[in-house]
Amino acid sequence: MSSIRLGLAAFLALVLQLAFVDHLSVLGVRPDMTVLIVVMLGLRRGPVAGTLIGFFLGLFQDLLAPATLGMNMLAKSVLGYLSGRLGQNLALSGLALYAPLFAIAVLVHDLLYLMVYTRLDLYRVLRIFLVESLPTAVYTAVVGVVILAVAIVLGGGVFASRREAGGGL
Amino acid sequence: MARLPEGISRFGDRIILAVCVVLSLWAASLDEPSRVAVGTRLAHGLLTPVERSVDFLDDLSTLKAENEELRRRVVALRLDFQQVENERRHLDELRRRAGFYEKNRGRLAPARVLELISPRIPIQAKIQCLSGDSLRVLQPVLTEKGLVGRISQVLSGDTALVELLTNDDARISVESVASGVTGILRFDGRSFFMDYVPQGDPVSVGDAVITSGLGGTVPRGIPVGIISRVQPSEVELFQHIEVQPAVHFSALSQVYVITRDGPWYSRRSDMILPDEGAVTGEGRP
Repeated sequence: MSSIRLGLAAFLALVLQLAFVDHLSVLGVRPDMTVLIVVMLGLRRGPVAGTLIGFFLGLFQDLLAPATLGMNMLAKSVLGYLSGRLGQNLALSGLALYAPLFAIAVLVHDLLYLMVYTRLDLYRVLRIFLVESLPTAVYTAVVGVVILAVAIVLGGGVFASRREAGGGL
Repeated sequence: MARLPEGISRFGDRIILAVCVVLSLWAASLDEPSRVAVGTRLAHGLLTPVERSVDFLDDLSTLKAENEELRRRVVALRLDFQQVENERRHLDELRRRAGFYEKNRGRLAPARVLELISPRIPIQAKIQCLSGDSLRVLQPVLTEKGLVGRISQVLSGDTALVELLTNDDARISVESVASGVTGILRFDGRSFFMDYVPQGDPVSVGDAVITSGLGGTVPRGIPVGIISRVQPSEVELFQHIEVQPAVHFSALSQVYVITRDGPWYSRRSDMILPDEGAVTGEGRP
């Protein structure tokens, strides 16, 4: 996948997050498509690409709401890096294993975000974490697995090259 | 994505992560107004090219329609230009002919009618020349519609008496444009007649009557009227032809005097200009 396609994928994730995620809202809970794309690309492309994709995707998200400048950048950069590292060192061999991975990714992302956002106000972090992040993590994991399954059915999908190389899925 | 050099690649991912984290923490550490200001400036810098690209694409989408509209306007303007060009040529032609007329047949000096002298209907008019031309006896006087009469007496340098065609003595030679038949115009106190046209000469109701130029006192070709009634007779020598005058003699206010002196000849070239092609339209672009 070329850099242009990486950029397009990130842009698509942003558009999906902004335009369509509200239609997937269940009891006020919405999946985080940007986290999904950062994790998927990080797993596939390694820590450098994952970090940069996360950084710039977070930057664009922050620019849409400049009061949060830096927070999405930080959370998604770290998430992209961790995903890349995980993709290098771990071979996930089943679709179901991605569900907890996506859920944990959302939790890590939100934890980082909330710690900066609340200036380490742990009570607020915990409250928001439990009320919003946990349901979002579950829902995002479900949506992520569905997207992966569709990608596999449609011809190899996102992780085709890793499977050919002996990686997961 | 470009492969990093071997030395850097071992720690490159961590370096990149560190840079991203430092940048992120720096941005997040700003107070909220500063974050908003920096974010807004950054967004403006990043999104302006995107907005311009979107505007450019919008412009492209409307370009075709605008182009069609402009093409239509160009065609319309070309037609307008052609029309204006034709009008300009026509105007030049008229100017040229007018200049030729003035040069060869006398200038039309405008004059104001000061008084209409009439026992019952006007038979004389007192005029004042407005152009400073000197008036002379027998100079023809006309309006845009046709011949009015001739100057019979010069009162001063710019004032004169005009003998109208309604005067008993104002006999002028006229001809029918359609057939070329000539006669003498006469006014009997009520109507105009074209006298001395032999029986059998072809004249018809509706024919235009102009001055013939015979006699040399009036140039040929000035409109006089239209034949309104023709009454042939087997017992008389001449036809009885009534003419509807072109000029309303009781409503004269502005007239023109042909300032060139006679005599006027009846040559056809006196009426039709030498560059006949220009008159008939031949040779025009």
